Amino acid sequence: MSSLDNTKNNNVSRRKFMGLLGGTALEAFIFEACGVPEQEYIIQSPVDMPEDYVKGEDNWYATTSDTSEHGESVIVRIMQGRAKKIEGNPDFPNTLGKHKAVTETEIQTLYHPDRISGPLYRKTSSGNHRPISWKEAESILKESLLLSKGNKSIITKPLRGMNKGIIDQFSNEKGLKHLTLSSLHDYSMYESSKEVFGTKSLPYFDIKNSDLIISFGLDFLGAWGPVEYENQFGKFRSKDHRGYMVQIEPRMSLTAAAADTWLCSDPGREGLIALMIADQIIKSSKGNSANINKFKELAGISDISELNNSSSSLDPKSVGSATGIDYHKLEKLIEKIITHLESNDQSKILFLSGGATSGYPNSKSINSLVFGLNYLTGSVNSKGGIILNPDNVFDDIEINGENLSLPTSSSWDSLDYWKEEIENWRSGNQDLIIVRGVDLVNEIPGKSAIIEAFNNSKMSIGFGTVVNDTLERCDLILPDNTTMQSWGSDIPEPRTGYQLFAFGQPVASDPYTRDGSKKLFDSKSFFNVLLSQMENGLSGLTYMDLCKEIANKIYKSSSYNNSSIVASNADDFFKGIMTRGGWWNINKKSSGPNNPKINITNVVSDVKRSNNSFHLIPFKSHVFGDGNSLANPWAQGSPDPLTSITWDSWIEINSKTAEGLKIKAGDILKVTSNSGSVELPAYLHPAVPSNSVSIPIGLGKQNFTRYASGRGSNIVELIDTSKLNEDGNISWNATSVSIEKTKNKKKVSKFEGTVPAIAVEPGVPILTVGPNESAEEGFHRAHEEHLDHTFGDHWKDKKHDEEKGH
Amino acid sequence: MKILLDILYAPLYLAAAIVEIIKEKDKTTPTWLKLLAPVLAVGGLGIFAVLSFVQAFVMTAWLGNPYPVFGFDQSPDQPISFPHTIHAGIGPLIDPDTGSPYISTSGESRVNDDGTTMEGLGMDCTYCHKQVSEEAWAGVPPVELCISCHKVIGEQSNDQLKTLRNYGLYEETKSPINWERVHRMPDHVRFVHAPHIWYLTENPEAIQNKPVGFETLPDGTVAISQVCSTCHGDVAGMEQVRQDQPLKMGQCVACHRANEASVGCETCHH
Repeated sequence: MSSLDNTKNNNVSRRKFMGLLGGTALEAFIFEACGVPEQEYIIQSPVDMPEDYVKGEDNWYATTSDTSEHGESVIVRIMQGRAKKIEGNPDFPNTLGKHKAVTETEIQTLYHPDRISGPLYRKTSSGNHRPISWKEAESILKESLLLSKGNKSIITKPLRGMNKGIIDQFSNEKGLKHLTLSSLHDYSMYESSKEVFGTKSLPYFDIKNSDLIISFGLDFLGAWGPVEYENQFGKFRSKDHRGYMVQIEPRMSLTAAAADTWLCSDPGREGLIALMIADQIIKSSKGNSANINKFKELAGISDISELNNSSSSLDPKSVGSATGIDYHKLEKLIEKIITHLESNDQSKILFLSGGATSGYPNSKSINSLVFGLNYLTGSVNSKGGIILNPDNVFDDIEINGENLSLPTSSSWDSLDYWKEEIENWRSGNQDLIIVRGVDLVNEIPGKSAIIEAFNNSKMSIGFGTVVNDTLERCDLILPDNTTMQSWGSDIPEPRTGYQLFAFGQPVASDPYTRDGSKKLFDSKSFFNVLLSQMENGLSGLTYMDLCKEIANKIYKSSSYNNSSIVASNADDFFKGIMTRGGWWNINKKSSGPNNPKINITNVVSDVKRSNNSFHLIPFKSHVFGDGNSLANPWAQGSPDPLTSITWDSWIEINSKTAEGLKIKAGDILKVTSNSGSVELPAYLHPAVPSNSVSIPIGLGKQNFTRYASGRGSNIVELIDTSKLNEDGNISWNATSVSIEKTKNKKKVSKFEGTVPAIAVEPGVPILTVGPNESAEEGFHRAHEEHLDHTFGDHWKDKKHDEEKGH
Repeated sequence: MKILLDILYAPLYLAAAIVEIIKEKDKTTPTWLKLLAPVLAVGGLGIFAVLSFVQAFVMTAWLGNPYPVFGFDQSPDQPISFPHTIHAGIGPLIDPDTGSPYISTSGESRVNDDGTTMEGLGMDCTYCHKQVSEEAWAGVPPVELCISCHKVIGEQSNDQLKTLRNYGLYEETKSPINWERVHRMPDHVRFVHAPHIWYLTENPEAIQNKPVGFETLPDGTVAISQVCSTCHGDVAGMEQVRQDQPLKMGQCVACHRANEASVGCETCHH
């Protein structure tokens, strides 16, 4: 039989054969797929220990916070020498276990991938930085200090306590001038309150025990104030007699948003409201006559009208018209104050000032007037009012024949003084600039002029953890320790009404390379470097020695008795201080104001703008403050509490105004002032006054690590420095700007709108506040709605019966 | 089912049919057929025995732990014979079943050079299985954790420790350890360790197979390491880890019922 015949007789056709083949393959696939993969029978132990996969006991060490300007104490969780988490120090009076969002980011400062790895030096201003050893670096520093015969300056943030004392010692010995700078700092509020209450440092605000708080711009729940004030506000609101708060300022800050009533005044005219309050209290005859006389005596007046430098009279209707506030609200405010004055249960009224109010040409007068109102209501140095801080244990201490000052309050320099200094630099008379912790070129208006002047200095030395726009222009860059690597001390400002010291210690070990052969960041403590350069009695001492010396002196002083730490000897006392993060004595309080004075020269200031322009209200973000924390991605990524924007800067503009100008959310706006212009994406917000716009400061740095370089716009460029306040400082809120819509648009990253409001737990109403409604009214409405929703008709019937009097 | 049984008993049917043929047609039956009958009968019985064994294996595996044959080993050999006895055992390492010291996988008795019985270190289970109280999976430690002790501790000549050091100490030989899995839930079961651990630590009366040295804390709870035995048996008494409990659905459901936990399907199958 031929092969052809065989094929013919075969019943399996080609089609069938292919079908069988496919079926077989499918079966093989199914059987294999139904099996358990081999790796399922394996459990793998990885070679290296993953992060945090360490079984062991953690330790929590106390130290001072890097990001706080109030000397807050923190505790840091340490596992095998590594810092893992930061929390507020539960023992310490101005934190009570709480901490701000930005405090968390200090962990990232410690382990930042862009931290300066070692000293860097360039011989000429056009040369490149090259790594050098600390020995070489310190020798260059020494030579610069010795050889310089011209002007020499050292620039830091405002300092207090021993830090200020060391800088003063160093400056005196080496012939340096000490300058301080901090953008959008509340200098005026600090100075006014010290003068009004006759103290050497900022008083403490007893928010918790107050019943009515009237705050003129002080954002104590947002960008300013120790975290303890936020904690206190919770207690102010939750006590049996719920406290009531009114916030008066031209921008809805976080504090304004949390207040029961926000009164949006035209910028610069808040003083008129304060005058009205004083006038109404006196006219009502409900105030204590001794208090009224005291106020008049301190202000040097016989009648309130003497302080009124405006054409407006002081009745609510006129003041409402002059400030742009509905006068009914002002009447309600007066009614509230009078009711509290009439009450027999020792109701306390607290008047606060600062924040936006400190940004006008007459900021000192307004602050003085508002703080002075506390005399009218008997709220000075009494529970629920202004608690004065006493002098600390000592103003200075003597160490090896040297007098180390320990001031309790920060000092700062006015813009006038700075202008003079920068002019000196520009003229070529500057031999040496040492800068630490200040991004000079971004924090003071007039960037290009400052850069030019800065480059004119023969030598510039910068201390820092990461390179910024100022440090990159320094000839010698010296890597600084973070507070978690250094000894530290501070005198918190404000203190909590008694004697108090904060101390810090190195809590984390220095990070090393993987093979352990060298430090990842070869940094040193700034103050230890200064001490090592000194040749007087402090020579050879370290910062730790000085901390011990202060502790010894406290231990030997009368203030030690009945204080926070009991020890049998000075060594144990020092250990106790380090364990608790500081020392305090609640029995050492202020006896009262010392030579107080209410100095009011100009209550009402006209912050002018033309018809087509807007008032510019710059503000500090609750999260990243002045912007020096923005190198840390956690700070960039934490949403602004009001707008929920992250990783960018923005301009807040009224929704209706924007509609009129055909501006939509995300449109890039060109904002122009007399000083410059910047471009920013628009954020539309119904709570922005129609005559103003707001922009956060701190962004727009050119070179500031991989996370912040070139991000956002620097608003400092817009600030009009022709209008200084009574202290010669910048009037931050006195700039008017015009807005122009560009063709560009940007999708701003924000959390808003993606998460619906949900109740904290089932059955709890979601609180909302409607237009022209106070938080308290909103609370009651929401409660009613909740009852209606929950109990339905039954509740309505009951209400109906009550209304009918059944 | 009937078809399956028919197939199973087919040799017996065949043998019975041949006996019938022999009885009826004895005289005419060929000799080869007569010889075939007993052969088939014996063979059939053998097959019956084997199939019965298979059936018994399947049934026991279904209801509990299978016999350790056909690769169904409940205590597989591991890349390193890690003795839980020495690490987690408490007090003298005496096997309660034999009353003698435990015998290592290499056949050595757990006695010291001076003849005294070795004592367990009493390490807490969570030292290595760190995630057990927080996550679904108890976790096995990274080699670095083993090395953190055995870099120094243990004889240099010990073969097992040599292997361990090769895995974790020397750059040129470093590699992960692939342990043979002993306990495995089917894919359609989602078992989360953490809630079980927390329930049992707070309700010690629910703990089964209590380990040697079981003790309750003053507040009435027990340490995490005291509850593992409910599902894993006395691991601290195992030279080589084995699956002690069947871990079948019936056991899970019974325990859930006894402790008034949810027995809804979605509890484990989701």
